[in-house]
Amino acid sequence: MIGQDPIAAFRVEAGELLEQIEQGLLDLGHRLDDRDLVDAVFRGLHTLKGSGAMFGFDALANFTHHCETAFDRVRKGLAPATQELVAVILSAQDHMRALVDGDGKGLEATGDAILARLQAAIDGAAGTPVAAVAEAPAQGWRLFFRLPPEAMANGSNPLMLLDELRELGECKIVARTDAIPPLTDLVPVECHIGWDVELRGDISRDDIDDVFIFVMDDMELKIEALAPEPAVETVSLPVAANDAPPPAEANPASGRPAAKAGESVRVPAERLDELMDRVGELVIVQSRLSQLAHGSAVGSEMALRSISEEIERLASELRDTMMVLRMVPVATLFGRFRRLVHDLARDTGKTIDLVTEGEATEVDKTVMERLADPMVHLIRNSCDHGLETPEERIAAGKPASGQVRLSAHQQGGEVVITIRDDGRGIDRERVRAKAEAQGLIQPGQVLADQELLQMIFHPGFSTAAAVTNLSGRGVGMDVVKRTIESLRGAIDIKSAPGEGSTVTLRIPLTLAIIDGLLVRVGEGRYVIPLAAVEECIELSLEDDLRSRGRSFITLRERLVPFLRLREMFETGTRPDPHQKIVVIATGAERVGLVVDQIIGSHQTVIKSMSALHRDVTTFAGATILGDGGVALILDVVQLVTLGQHQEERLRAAG
Amino acid sequence: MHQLLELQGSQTVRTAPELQRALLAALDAGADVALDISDIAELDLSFVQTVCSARHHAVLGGKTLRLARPAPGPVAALLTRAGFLTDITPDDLDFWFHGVLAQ
Repeated sequence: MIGQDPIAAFRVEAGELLEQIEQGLLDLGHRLDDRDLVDAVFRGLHTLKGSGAMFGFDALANFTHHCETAFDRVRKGLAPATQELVAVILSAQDHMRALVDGDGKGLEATGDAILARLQAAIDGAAGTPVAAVAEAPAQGWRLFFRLPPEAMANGSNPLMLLDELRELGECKIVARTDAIPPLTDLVPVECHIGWDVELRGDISRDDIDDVFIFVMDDMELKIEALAPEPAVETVSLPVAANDAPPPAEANPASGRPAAKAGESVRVPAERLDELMDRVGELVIVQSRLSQLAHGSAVGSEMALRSISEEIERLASELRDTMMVLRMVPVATLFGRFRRLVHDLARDTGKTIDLVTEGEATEVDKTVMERLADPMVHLIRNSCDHGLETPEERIAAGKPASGQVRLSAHQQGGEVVITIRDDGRGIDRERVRAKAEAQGLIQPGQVLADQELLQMIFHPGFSTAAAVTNLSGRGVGMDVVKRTIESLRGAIDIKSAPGEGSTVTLRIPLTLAIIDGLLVRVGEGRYVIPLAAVEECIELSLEDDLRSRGRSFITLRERLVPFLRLREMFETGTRPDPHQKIVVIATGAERVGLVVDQIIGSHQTVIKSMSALHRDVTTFAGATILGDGGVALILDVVQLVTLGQHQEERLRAAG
Repeated sequence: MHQLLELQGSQTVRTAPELQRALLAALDAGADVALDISDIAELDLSFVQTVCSARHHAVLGGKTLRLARPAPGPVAALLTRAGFLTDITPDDLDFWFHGVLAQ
């Protein structure tokens, strides 16, 4: 937290500002006459410009300045907000993001192009070329200002503002004391002095605004241009009362923690307090324990047991509290897709509504980041393949605008995220034709509906007749599936012709801790993620001998391949007389694992493998057991694939 | 019969409530209060504001509040910086500098 790089902090803040601006713009696209939104966007741009200039991002500040000027005209009612303007500022906002991330080199041309479009949008909107008015060079300005009463208590020094004004040019400052209340009524920490200022010189309105940027929100400020310009421009702040809070003080609760881009999590203060409480209790128990260790009190066994129970409780509470620290609401994830859907709607010419539900549901931050890409893909699919064009929709008796609905809710230890569209649904005939063409199924082979739908998860599978810019290249669903499975999640797809498709993602709440089944193979112990375990059955000696060479068992009239872990791991031990088969599954594929003994279920804290063992595939990680021993965690996806290969090999061999 | 209120050291927003109480008490106790601010080392706007407010208060109560000696250098500097001396009224000039603006 200490010695934070201010540039990095600015980048984080700018990222948030840009996100707010983007959300504001997207809303504005739907409600062009919403004054509050215009104000919110304007202020976002304004703050970005101000802090950008402060941290030396001059290209950003200059560029943003033009967008702000354009928006200022909308705000003052000089120009209407138009779709064109919103679109231009959206693209400008992408450019700003590039400027924030880099040093702005080589981006000038892009910036200029956007500014030209911006100018065109503004001119088009106003109907008359009016660009000159906002920036009319005045001989100077006459202003009166009074700071918000609490400004001094908040640490702004009015004298510094006056000094800054003096730096702008020739300046005459007169203090006004008439608003100071009589001594009995005075709150001495509030500032009631006002100032009349006359500024002379080639000073732009924005230069003056920059001086007041940090106190602007509630202050009283009147600015008029000095003669000879007869034009009088009066702006009165504060702006609309129900306006969004200014970004700079958006979340005092989460304490504006020092956030380094990428690797940090914002944690609400109360959660940290909770953690602190637990740690405090732990310290107390620890001191009780050391007292016990040093003394030789009678009945120490009882005391020891009570301490042990206490520690057990604390450890589990600490674990819960700690896990919650990493949780972030999916709202941030869903928020990103609004822009995506907006762009997709524009590119495809469809009208698409994005509806989100359950944004407050929380997911581990790492999980969230890894979910973003697969979800982008699924949403693209929905918008591009799923939803029909307005004409087709009307012809099918549906409302012209399509809907994509994202929802999230928690269910046990999982978060369920669904992506639903009300489009045409998956074309089974085309899936079947494609699957046959690729040799995935035999022509005429009878398949359950669910199995048929699963085909789209095969690599290289695309039902799109035409490859579009957006999707249909055949990379995707298999990658989506793999990513979800690497998160130990599951993906499920439902589709009703003519009514739309629903993709359901089930993701475990956290990656750090899993419930596992502890088994023994030879002398080593291994953990199988419990979520993947379907059932455990005994492998009798006769069965074992009979199936030697052909590693299959018949399970409810279906052949399930199994792997002898003892052989795989080359333990060199004799098999236990009562071996067990643990049947694990991912999706519809199952495989049995032969183990010597099932020890029981085990709460597993996953430790990832060291860099040296990174390319070991059969194991997903390791964990430390209660007795200090190490158990390796089996990688279910890998093992199932291995089992299926074996099945294919055997089938090929006849 | 006048009261003398001596102020020293730092007179800033932190000590302003204290100053307010002292001024109120002094103005309650006597009709003529003199402030000695010659030894003020550090001050900010809140000091000037409190004194302005007290002057206002004194006028309303028919009392007199004055400075025992013309404002010393640091006070004058702050008044200049805050724009109190631009277009200064004779009244203010009398109060802060006893009628003579130091150069």
